[in-house]
Amino acid sequence: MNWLDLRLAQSTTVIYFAVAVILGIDALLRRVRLRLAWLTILGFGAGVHAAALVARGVALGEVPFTDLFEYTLFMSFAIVLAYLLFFRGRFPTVGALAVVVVAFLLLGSASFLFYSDPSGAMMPALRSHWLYIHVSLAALGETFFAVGFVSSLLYLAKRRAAPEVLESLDRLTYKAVSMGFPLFTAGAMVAGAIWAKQAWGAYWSWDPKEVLSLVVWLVYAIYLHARLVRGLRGTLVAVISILGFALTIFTIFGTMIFGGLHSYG
Amino acid sequence: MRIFERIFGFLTSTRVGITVMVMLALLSLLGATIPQGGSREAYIDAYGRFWGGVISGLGLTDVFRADYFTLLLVLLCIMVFACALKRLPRRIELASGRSFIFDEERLARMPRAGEIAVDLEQDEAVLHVLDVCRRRHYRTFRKREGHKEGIFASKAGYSRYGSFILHLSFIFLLAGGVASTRLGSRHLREIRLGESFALTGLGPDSTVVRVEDFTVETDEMGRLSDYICEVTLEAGDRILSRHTIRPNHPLDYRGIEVYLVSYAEDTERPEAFALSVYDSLGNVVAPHIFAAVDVRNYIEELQGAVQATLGVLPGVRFFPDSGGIQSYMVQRDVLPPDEVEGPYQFVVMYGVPGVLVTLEVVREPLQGLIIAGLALLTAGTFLSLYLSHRRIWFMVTEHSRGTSRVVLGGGASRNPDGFAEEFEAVRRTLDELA
Repeated sequence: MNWLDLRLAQSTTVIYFAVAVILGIDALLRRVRLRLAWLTILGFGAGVHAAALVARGVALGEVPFTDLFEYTLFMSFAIVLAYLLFFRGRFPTVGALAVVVVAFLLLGSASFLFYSDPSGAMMPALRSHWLYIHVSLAALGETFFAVGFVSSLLYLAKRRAAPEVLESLDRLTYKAVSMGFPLFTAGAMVAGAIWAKQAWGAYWSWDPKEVLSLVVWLVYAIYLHARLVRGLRGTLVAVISILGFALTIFTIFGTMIFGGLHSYG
Repeated sequence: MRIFERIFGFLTSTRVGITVMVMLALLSLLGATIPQGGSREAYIDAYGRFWGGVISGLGLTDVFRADYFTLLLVLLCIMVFACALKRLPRRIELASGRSFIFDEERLARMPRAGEIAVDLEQDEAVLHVLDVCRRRHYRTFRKREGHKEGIFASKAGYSRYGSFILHLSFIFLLAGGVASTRLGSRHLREIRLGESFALTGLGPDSTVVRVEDFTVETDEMGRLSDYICEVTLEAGDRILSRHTIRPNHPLDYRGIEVYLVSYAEDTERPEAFALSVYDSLGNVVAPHIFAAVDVRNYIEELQGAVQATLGVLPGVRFFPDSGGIQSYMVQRDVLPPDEVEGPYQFVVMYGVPGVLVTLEVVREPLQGLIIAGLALLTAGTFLSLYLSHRRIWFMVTEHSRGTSRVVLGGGASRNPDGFAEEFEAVRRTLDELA
């Protein structure tokens, strides 16, 4: 075992920490050079993060989606990538700071608390093409929920800002949730159910992770109903979005507490 | 009549719908975090007298099978269906309706609006607009009112059905779930190699499933990679078919599914032994003989295996007891000498355990409902949240001889930024081509 994946993941955690510090200073001083610096370092960090994923995949001989370490490694990467590719221009510095802190916490917990030896045997039940569909779509959905979480936090933090700023944050949350919800539905709920039938003989088993995913789904369904049908905007929907992501994190790490059929990941 | 209206109003209320969803979410959260299916005493031990009593008293010990949970689920599905029905006429109207606007002020009030003067006759200008819209994959319709020519362009109108399809999926999922729970069955079977079990009561005939072989596969690093069970389906003396079952690959026979759940060592029924043979003085004659035996007659077969190797019938130092294979070695030193027969004696050094395979036999009728529900759920979510129904209205009037005026306005059900870009592109193209 060469530990390359772990070393790269831990290095990325340190890089994200450094970016968070520079972002904090930038939020206070607002210097153009600082922005350039943290963006460059964040891009470099994302590169190292990608290398950690590749190293893990090579060590495992499989796409790294098989346990909690790999899931959080992938999801934190997707969050940073989504920010860099789609949301970079839409968030103020504080928003970028929140994104990096979320990625840092996820990756930090993965690399310092949940690291697993890639040379261990993979459960035969995980050898299925549904693994890629189920895990990747669920993680991408949750990535967008993370973006919605950050914009909702910003909304609550800037409640006294100009109405246009608040409206753009509210729209950003809605955009993130409406992009994440179908992905989460297709990945976590639908692909998960089909794979569960193939592997365990039942589409739904009321397993703790299944139930918690259903709760997350219901919370975001409530968010969408509140916003689209009732036309609600502002604080209440921002709180629902924050609650949804808090439950998402609880669902990801809940298997460690509650076990069940998903106890391997 | 009013009572029905009130019931329908209750069932289609968003506020009530959100309340039911919140209740289901809370109950699910409790069901996931509190271990389910324990006794009252177990909850009191785990959570203390007060909270243990509260959990038992409120029936939170088996949330997902509780009547109130089922009731809430059914209520939610009925509400979802009622909402879908209520909104369906409007959806159909929006998706396929053709409306024309000949009022400039109305067009100007739309989310996107504009006006262009083109150096074309009115008819040519209309054809020009139609062409630009069709190139952008809009469905177009035209209507004349007096001297005004109205054009309605619509794209992805079917996305309006997204939320209806999404809501409809719940009905399928609930119906499939109920059918599976009420009409289906599932049984766990622990079975040894060579044994069979009947699908009686589950299948249409007296078909039996026989476990022929079981293999554990490892990768090049010696790690477990798969386990495979070979089975045959038999009716009387006839073998109907052979199948390989492994994780993610169940056997499906006329609606009966057989899943390979797990396997375990069967120490009570060894499938082979490693023996050492000694003479009457205790000298080793054969240090290691491997004997694959029929587990039901293993003493005789072991003797036969040794006789085949050495040419004489050995004595037996062998006391099977409930302790399993490892106990044979313990017995070797305490065996009374008068129980030894023949010139040689053998001692079982190691028993190779047999395999006990656990299979789950599942019958889930009407699975098509669940599959349809899942497909509708996916399609509905993507249609309603990823696609946008874009509509543009044009009013073309003759401005002066050889020139026309095009007033346009439009909006989209989602993604206003994306629509704004497209609207501008349409307007610009009309402007440039004119």
